Order: sequence, then structure tokens, then C-alpha cells
Amino acid sequence: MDKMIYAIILTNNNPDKLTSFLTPMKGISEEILYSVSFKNVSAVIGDIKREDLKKTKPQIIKYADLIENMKQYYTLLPMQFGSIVDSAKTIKKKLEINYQEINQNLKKVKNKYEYGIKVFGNIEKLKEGFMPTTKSEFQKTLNSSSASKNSAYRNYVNKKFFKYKQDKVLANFIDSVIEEIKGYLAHFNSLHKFKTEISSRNIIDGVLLIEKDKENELIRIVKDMQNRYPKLTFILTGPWPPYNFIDININ
Amino acid sequence: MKDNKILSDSELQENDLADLRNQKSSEKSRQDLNPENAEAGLTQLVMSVVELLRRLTEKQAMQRIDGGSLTEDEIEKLGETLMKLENKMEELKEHFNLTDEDLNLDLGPLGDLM
Repeated sequence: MDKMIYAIILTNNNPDKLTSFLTPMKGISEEILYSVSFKNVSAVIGDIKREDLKKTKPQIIKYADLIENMKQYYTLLPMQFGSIVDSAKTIKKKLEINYQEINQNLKKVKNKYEYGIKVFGNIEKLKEGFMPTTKSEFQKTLNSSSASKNSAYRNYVNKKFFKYKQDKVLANFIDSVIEEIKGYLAHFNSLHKFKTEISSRNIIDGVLLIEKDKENELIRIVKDMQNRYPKLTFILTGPWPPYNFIDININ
Repeated sequence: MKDNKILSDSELQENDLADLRNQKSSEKSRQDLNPENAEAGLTQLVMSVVELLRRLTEKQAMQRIDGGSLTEDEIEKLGETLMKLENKMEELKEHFNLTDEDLNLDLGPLGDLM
């Protein structure tokens, strides 16, 4: 039987407490959960047949719920869904070989939760709002300049150039919003990652790693940002296990 | 996403929720190469790369125009080239029955190709 690793947990040399915690829990295919430990870290595992790992929505939700439950009581590194190893002995060896890296990551996420910030806005409306002129006015300005020609090719370039300018202004605006959020976060000593223009409406997707007791302050910041930018929609989600802040390559 | 995980939002619109759902289950434009569709899959892949290069060329051209380093004649020639490139791509997409969405490959955690 293969072993699926759910998470690596900081147990502070008290694996017995973890065993009692895991006893009533069941894994994604209703298997018993138990742990394999090395020093102060333990891997939570379940015996599973590879063919039982379906990656279906119910299995993934069950997996996320288990990690969520563990997160409330332990500092942990969630493992990618479907991390399967052939034996408990191999897991123990991996904990031993990667002990230093695992410990560094656990230290990084200790007493912290991950939060997500998503910012939505109508990109086309935002672009229109930023450009001081309409497309036709912009074209007129370009065509009236020095030796500008009024050919089909020039009109094509003008159209593309207008779009390029719009995109550039929008990108600058998004960057400025991100910088503002980062400014607010500066005194949190937080870690953060931001991605931009995820879809036609989701213009910013950020994840933050912040101390557990700072949640209310974070909510206040997001509300402040919302008041400052009424044309955007800010959404704060969490607390999540630190899915996006683990920097480890288990050998 | 569980509703109790949303700590703060103003008026979350249905469009925004749809976006969130789509991000969680983004199956669009994911390459699904298998022996039966190898030829079509390869065409889609090659067309995606060509379209990406075309867009990069276009962006670089706009940067040069913005920088003011091109003469009016050069801009005119650039316009002709870019227009012909775009028209040719449209023809090819039609020929291979591909849409813009087909070419915008889902690169998983890296986001979409374009």
C-alpha cells in the first residue's frame, strides 16, 4: 500500500499529541491517518492505493478540509495533493535528508496565516476612464502631427497605438494600486506575492503571509482601499494554510 | 471557495464570482495531446507560438513608436507589415478552425500564454 503525505507538521517533539489529534480523522479515501516523525517534525500520512487517487472535486475538497483542520492546531507545510511515497521508511528518510529545509520553512510560516487579496474591475471601463481623449480624438492628434499620413496602414498603426497606450496606462494604475497595498503592509513584516491582469475582470491576485493576530488590521486596510477606489472591488479571503509560501524541494 | 473564507468584500458581483470559479476550474485551452489528435494539437501549439511572437513584435513596434525613434515612412511600412501579419494569422486561424481562445494556452500556475 502506498502512503499519501498530507502535510508536514511541527510537533515540538510531541508526536503522541499529534497521534491523538489524528485518531478521529479519516483521509480522502476514508483511510486512517497517522504520522511518521523525525526529531520535531512529523509527516501526516494515510495508506492509499494509487488507483484510488482520483483527483475528483470531493477528494480535493476533503483534502483541503483536512489541511484546514490541522492548520488550526499546528504549524504546517501542506503537501501538494497526490504526493505519494512507497513506504513510511522512505518518508522518514526524506524528513531526515530535508530536515534543515523543512525546519526553515516551518519557521517562516509559524504563527502566520495566508490571506488572499483579489481586486476586480471592468478593464475596458477603467481604460476608457484613464485616457484623456477618445480613440477618434487620439487619431486626429496623431494625424495632425508633422508629416503624418492618413493611409490605411497609418490608421491601423494609430488604432494599435491607442490600445497600446491604454494598456500601458492601465498597467501603471494596477502597479500603483499594488504599491499602495504593499505600503500598508510594510509595517506587518509580511511576505507577499502579486500577479496582475488574471482575467478580463480580475486585475490583481495577491497572497500574503501575515501573523495570525493581524487579521482585523488587514480587514481594515482592505476596507480603506475599497473606499479609496470605489470603481474596483476588493476581496479578502482566508485564513488559508500557507500554500503559496513554501519554498522546498523534497529530494 | 467557502463563503466564510471571504473576510471582506464590497458588492461582489456575479461576474466576479464567475471569474473566481473559472480560475478554480480552468480547463479552457489546456493542451490535450494524444495519439488521436496529435496533428491538430501540434497545429494549435505551433499557431499559439506564432501568435505570441506576432503580438510581441507588435508590442515592440509600439514601444519604438512611443519612443519616437521611427520616421513617418518607417511607421507607414511597419503598419503595412503588422496589418499583413494580422490578416495572415486570421486566415490561418480560419483554415485550421482555431479561435483566439484556442491559442491562448493555459500554462497552469504561470497563467495564460497571452
